[in-house]
Amino acid sequence: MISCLLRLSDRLSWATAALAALAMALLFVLMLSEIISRNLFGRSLGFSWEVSGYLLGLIIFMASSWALRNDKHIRITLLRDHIPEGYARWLDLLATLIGVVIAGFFSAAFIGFCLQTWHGGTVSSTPQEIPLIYPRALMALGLIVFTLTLIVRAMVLFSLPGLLAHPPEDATMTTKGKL
Amino acid sequence: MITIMLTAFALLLAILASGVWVGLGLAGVGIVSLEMFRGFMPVEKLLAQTLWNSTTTSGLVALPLFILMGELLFRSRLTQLLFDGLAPWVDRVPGRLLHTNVLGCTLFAAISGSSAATTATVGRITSNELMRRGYDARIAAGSLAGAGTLGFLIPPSTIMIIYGVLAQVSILKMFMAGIIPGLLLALAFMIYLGGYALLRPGELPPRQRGLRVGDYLRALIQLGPVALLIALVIGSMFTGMATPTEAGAVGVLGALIVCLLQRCLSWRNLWSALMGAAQLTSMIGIIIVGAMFLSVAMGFLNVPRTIADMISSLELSPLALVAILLVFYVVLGMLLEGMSIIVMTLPITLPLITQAGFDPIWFGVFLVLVVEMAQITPPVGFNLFVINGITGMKISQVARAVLPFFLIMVAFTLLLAVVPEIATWLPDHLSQHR
Amino acid sequence: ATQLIIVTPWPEGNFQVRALNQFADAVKEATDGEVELDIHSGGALGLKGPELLSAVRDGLVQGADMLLTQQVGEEPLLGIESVPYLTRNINDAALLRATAWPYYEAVAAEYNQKFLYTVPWPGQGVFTRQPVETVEDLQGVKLRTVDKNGTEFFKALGASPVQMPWGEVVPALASGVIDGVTTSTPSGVDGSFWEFTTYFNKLDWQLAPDVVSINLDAWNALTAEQQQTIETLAQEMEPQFQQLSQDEDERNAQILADHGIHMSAPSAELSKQLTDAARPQWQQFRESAGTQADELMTRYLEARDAQ
Ligand code: NA
Ligand code: NA
Repeated sequence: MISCLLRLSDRLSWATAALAALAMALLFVLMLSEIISRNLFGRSLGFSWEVSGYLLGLIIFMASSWALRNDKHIRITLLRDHIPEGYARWLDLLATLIGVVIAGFFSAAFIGFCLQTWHGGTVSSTPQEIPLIYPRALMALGLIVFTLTLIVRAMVLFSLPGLLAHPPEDATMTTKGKL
Repeated sequence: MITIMLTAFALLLAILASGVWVGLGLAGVGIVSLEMFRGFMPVEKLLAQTLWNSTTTSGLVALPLFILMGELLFRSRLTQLLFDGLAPWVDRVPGRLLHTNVLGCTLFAAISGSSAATTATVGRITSNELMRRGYDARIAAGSLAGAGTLGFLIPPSTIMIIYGVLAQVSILKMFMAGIIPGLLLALAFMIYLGGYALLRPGELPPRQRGLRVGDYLRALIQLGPVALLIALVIGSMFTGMATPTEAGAVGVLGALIVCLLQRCLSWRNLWSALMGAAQLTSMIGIIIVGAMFLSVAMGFLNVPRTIADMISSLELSPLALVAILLVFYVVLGMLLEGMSIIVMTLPITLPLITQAGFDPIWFGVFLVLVVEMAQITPPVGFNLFVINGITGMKISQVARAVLPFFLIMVAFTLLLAVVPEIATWLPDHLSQHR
Repeated sequence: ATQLIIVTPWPEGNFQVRALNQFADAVKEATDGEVELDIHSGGALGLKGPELLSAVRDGLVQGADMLLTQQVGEEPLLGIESVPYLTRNINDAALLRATAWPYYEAVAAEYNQKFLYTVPWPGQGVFTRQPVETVEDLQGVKLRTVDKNGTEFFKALGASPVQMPWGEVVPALASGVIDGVTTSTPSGVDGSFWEFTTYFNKLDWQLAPDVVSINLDAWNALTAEQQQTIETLAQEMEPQFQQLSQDEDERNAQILADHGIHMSAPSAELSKQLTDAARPQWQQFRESAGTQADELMTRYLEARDAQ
């Protein structure tokens, strides 16, 4: 049951991270196109800077849960390293729960922000006039998945902490095996 | 005010010690402090706005690009070539390949405007290889964390641009003012590494024996790809092809070409580089968000301004003022994010320092140095986090390893106060000829 | 005493901040220290751009000095003064400001705030390496622009507008990524543009007004007497601040000239060509910025042509 939940959560995290990876590729392509367009055709694409900023925000939040599962996010382990193994699990659980509360606050705050953007029909104050709800809603999605991943982490720590001993492999998440 | 500061500090220590992820923890302290002391304001709205503003700013776009460049190069054989190429040349230099980090960061700092990008990119390329070749992990990590900070001092530099705008000084002059201090600081780091190696010869791998002229020449050829890559990126900036941020994309393109030529560009490698870069960007981004929000919260509670006001009421002599400001910024830099420290305190410290007879350009270099120190002081130090993320070394270990480099920077900053010309000579000299 | 946090994106020493500080001092004195405006300059609290209108509405801060052109994503009508070449001189500008103010006040009320006073930035011109005397001189010039108006205006004139963050502008100018920048004289001095460009043609093609705004909840919490005092001060000091902007323009123009920048203004012919290039955008503004904006535009143009 709980391992099933973790697998499901891992798939979700991987999927959002895959979107982040695509956003990363797009960011590069966009910047390169701007350089090429300006130098070869003498005209700027215009939107590249603005969109790059949104892509960066997407990458940060969309990749956050997969980075969490792979222990890429930074935490200070000084205390945990100096207490007996049995207590370390409970300390980790405490830290995860605090994380859930803060990430939950992030998500709630950002959902409210999105609703306001939606109702106000806010567009960017740039020539592109991009409706800001699109990048913001995607960032909110990233935050929600991040919060869910933390909640699942807390549940696993509580019942079967051994499951977290090995981070999930990238390759096992891809259906085709090799990319 | 004392209550606010003590509460925030205790909370920060408790929450970080419990092992909460740093970015979340910093934001959490900000949220709780604001709810406690400014409960009437809509904290969640400020948080959402700060999340949005700090992650979608175009000033940060170079970061993911340079991280992606590092991830690609990490998967190529460039690293090995770099080290094989450098090895014969530094064989007689005390410390040998230990200098790679400082040299690499100095070169890379000329490409990148941020210290996190410099540390992450160079570290990704060098750290595993240094340890594989038998160099001590601590001194490798320490030199990386220390030299990574050169990203801000050697132009281009995001911090100098912000300072130039805030203090209304020429950004070009700021860039020029950073060059000599940046090179001197790199030299100081290398002297330290050399001395360290002389005192502890046991901690270094053995020297190569019987090097011939051919070895040196072959080494030069091996350095070719790195040199070309750097030339490509710097060249794109100086010929007017690309802005400093866009040069990041040129770097990625160069890295792709290197991978292609070395036949290690597979879809699989490309995908894992993208996934790796996205996660590293996310890690740094979440910390930036947390650090920004904590800084904004402290700004709302007037903490940095109150302390700066206190200093201004002391009416100190110029050198004493610099010393006090150094302490002030080092302490703030332990907890807050470097860029926001500058923005929040500058309205008070800049008039103080100019009244004391210092050049605003000089003060810009001083501030860049203290922000660099903030990058390597625990508990909140970006370079420490980045190195922890790359090598898996504990933050406390990295912090201890970087201590000598921190002390060198303190000494260098004091030297800069006594001999301001280190910073001001080049801009003054060059602008006279215009 | 009541403390109101007011944020401004501009750095300490900038004339907008100097004006704001003067206003804060005057308010403090006139209310016997009962109302204090706590000014945070340089965007120090992380609020400095297009979010200021909503930040004041939501009470994140009690007030802000905001650039109206940046708020058009929330409320397009606020962009009327930045529509290209709508004003030909200082008199036009004053007329447009006066005509627009009641409309602004209505928008402000909708966003739960009250606009106290407005101070325009000095008029926008172009800093370039080559002289710009005719429309031909603009052909293909890679010019850094900020907003939709500028981008479309200069595209219509045959230039090649480039968008990039301010942080990239100086290195980009130095290396030749761009050939010029459209901005005002104080920004030209801030960026030491004489290091990279030689000419400034003060086209005056766009106005960029700042507005100092205060949250209505914070406002209503003041006594009627305090409100009266502050309102009177805003009215009295606004002309001084607008004069300050003009003085600042002249002072900075002098600095630019002293550093070898050739200053010029558009010829009658260029001026006519600029108007022709701008007209489609007047129409576009009428169509896209709402009925109120259309009405305001009509009212202004009628008043202007009646002069
Ligand atoms: Na740099
Ligand atoms: Na620090």
